[in-house]
Amino acid sequence: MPIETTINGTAVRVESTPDTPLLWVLRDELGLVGTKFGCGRALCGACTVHVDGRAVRACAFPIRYAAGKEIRTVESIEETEVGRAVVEAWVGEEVVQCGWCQPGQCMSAVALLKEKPAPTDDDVDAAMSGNLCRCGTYTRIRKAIRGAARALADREENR
Amino acid sequence: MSRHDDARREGLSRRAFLRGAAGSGGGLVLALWFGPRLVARPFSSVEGAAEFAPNAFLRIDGDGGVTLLAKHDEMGQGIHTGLAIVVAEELEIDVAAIDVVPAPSGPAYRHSLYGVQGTGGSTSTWTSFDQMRQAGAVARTMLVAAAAAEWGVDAAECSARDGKVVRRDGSAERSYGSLAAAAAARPVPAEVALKDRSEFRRIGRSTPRVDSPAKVRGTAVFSLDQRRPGMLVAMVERPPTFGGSVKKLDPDAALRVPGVRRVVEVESGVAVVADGFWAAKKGREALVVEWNGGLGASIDTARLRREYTRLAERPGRVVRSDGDFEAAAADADELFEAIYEVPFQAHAPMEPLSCMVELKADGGAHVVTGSQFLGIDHPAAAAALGVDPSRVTFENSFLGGGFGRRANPKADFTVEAIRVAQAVADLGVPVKTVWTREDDLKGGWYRPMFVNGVAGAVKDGKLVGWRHRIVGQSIAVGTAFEGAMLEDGVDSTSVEGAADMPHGVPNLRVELSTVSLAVPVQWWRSVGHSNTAFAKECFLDECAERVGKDGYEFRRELLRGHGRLLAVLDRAAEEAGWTDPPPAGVGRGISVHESFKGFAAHVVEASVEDGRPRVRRIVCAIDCGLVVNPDQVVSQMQGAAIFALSSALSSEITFTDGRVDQGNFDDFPIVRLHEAPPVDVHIVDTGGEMGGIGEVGVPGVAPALCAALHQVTGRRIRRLPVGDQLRS
Ligand code: FES
Ligand code: FES
Repeated sequence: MPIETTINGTAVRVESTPDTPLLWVLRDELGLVGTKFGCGRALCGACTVHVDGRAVRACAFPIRYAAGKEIRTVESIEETEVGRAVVEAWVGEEVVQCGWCQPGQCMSAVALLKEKPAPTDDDVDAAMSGNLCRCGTYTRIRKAIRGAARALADREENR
Repeated sequence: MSRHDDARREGLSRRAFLRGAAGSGGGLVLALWFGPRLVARPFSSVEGAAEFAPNAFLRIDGDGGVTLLAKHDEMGQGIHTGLAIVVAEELEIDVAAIDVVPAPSGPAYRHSLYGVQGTGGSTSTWTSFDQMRQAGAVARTMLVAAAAAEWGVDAAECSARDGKVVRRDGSAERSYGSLAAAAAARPVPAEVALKDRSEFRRIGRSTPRVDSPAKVRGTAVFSLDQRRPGMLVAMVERPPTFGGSVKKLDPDAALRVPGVRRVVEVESGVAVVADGFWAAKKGREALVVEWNGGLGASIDTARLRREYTRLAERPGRVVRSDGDFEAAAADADELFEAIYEVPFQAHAPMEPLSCMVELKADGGAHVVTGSQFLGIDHPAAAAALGVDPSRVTFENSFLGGGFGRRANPKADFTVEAIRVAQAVADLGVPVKTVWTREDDLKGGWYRPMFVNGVAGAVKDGKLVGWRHRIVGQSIAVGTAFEGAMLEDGVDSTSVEGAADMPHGVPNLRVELSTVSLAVPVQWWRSVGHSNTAFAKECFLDECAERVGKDGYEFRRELLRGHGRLLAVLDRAAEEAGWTDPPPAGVGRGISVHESFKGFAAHVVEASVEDGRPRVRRIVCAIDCGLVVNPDQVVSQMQGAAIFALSSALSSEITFTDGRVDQGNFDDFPIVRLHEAPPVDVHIVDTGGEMGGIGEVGVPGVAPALCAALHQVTGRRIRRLPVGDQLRS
């Protein structure tokens, strides 16, 4: 049975075996390789995408659960204002080192800021502790999230 | 934003329709619109004739595009940006206007010091600095000469600035692009004038990384992201014990998994070749294999610790001997000893390993990889194929972390990928061999486990004797580097940081016992220093306590005359507020160590909560000589501190009955955001020689942490990781 889902705003029909993790449908079948693989067991966050707006680990999300859902990957991150602010802050703060974890970090940050536009340190801890960075960019990730939140608040004020 | 990223933006803003490969059993995608720039692209091609290619590093097109072929691999350390800054300084062009791509494998890109193409040893910036300046200056000189000839004036009347040649009188200007063809026709000057350091406008200023936008947007292409039409994915089941081999294989169940094409035996194990990652993984799980145990079948960490410790209690091979330690010990007021241990440690780069091989009709191959060591991989691949290296081409990618793992002295993951491709050569398609996290953590090539026996002799309140015995495997033995790294049977990387300790101790002896074991080992960020600095700095802290001195003052006295070490030590102490007592319940430790021609001091503040260390803050001072990109030095020091903290606090590789106990980030925990302290970095420039950066920030963290923990608990941690040692 094909699975019908929406990826980055486009209706998609997938015929993968239903237990195939969303991650491998994205990477191997759709060529959307911006979503990364780091552990395969929901331990590292490199594969973070949004399913109906919530941050989800695509490596542990069987494609059958994607039926009828709205999926967003890093490839469409700049289609929302929050996403643009996060990308801008990440680049501005020079967060990146090897970069492998960063699409996942950004997707987690976007989900956090959409839910909590002014996150506390504890909110950041809770939302981001599932995203590992072997290069150790955490100091700058924290700063970038604060920066993105501030930029979004400023924009809101000026509207 | 780099031109490269722009090109991607544009190229991908069209509608893209993707189809699953015909006959792909794993799934078929019908048709789908990805919208703008949603598909990652490989680096722009550097093949074909550029208008102007003054050397192996630079290409300038008629439209003004400037491409830098980076001889060092970008694995997070910011070297693509660093090399671009140095070139741009002499070429007189904006760094952001340079498109940096990984160089292919070739003699022009050999490491200036090691002689083989590669990235490691924290050497990229200082060993390529002059070469990159030269490359930029040659191009600039030729462009200026071309413009001068065209205007019929002397070259001295022209100058280069912002990607243009201008006449000094302001009467004319030409863009580099418009001069490319004319410049290409000119002779390459043998000697060019380099800028004086006082004229630097880009070197020494914080410059944005050239790879950030693509990496944040997910458009940067890493090895694991590489795809080719018809490509298959392979996963190898390796023996569960080192040295093991296949005894019996039943591939039937694996072959029944949808999407699995082949099951083949290769040197390193059993490969499942399938349409994609998931089918390969399911297929591999369905394999029924019986293994022969091999040499590593009885390796057991508890036993190794006992055996290594016994060796550390006996004399080893003397590597250095100043004065007479035995006499000093006999004469001492106090003689004390301690055993320090570090475990096997995995690199665990965030991107698991992979390598794609496309076999060619002439017996050669095109290899697409993520490697720190093309200079080793290339001949190894050719040897595996049985062809001349000229028949093999290499294409590198961004590296999702390396830390040494991707510079394998035996080209392990490259050769394995070749073997897999050969085994299914009749399929006639590219095959990408991929590793899972479990494969990575169980797959060997670790930082060796070490046990250190350190003894100190105190007389009249002074440290008069020091003996450091090191027990562990050599990473050089059995590799192509044996000749270069072994001197009189001593692997220099086993004793670095100990045999060269500069401290003023009159009777100083360093000994090594080299162990041979079936566990494959290699360099891990900071190599031998990750062990020796731990033992040395921790024991210095114990010595300081014995003679009743503060850890900072004690080091200052022993390092008299070592200006660069003292400068970073003083700076770290000052920035951390060493003389003010730490908050209640918080301990503070300090360390200072030289490695890879770089000098670093660390102050770590930590408390203990429910028996678990909590690191509050890390202050680091670094002197690496002239700095190319200060913000990236800061970034490297911050990252190195967190990397070091993971191995100090929690991660290790251990063995039970020959099998690795760890498999993923649950039992190989690395520091997470909520555990990561702020890391304040201070760059010190004493005007000394340029040196290393990337690894220099690692060795000092663990000992400073353990000194801090001692201060709050009164307990000495002498074995890493700290884990729950403070719980009992
Ligand atoms: S790959 Fe999904 S959480 Fe690690
Ligand atoms: S930037 Fe390398 S893992 Fe995060």
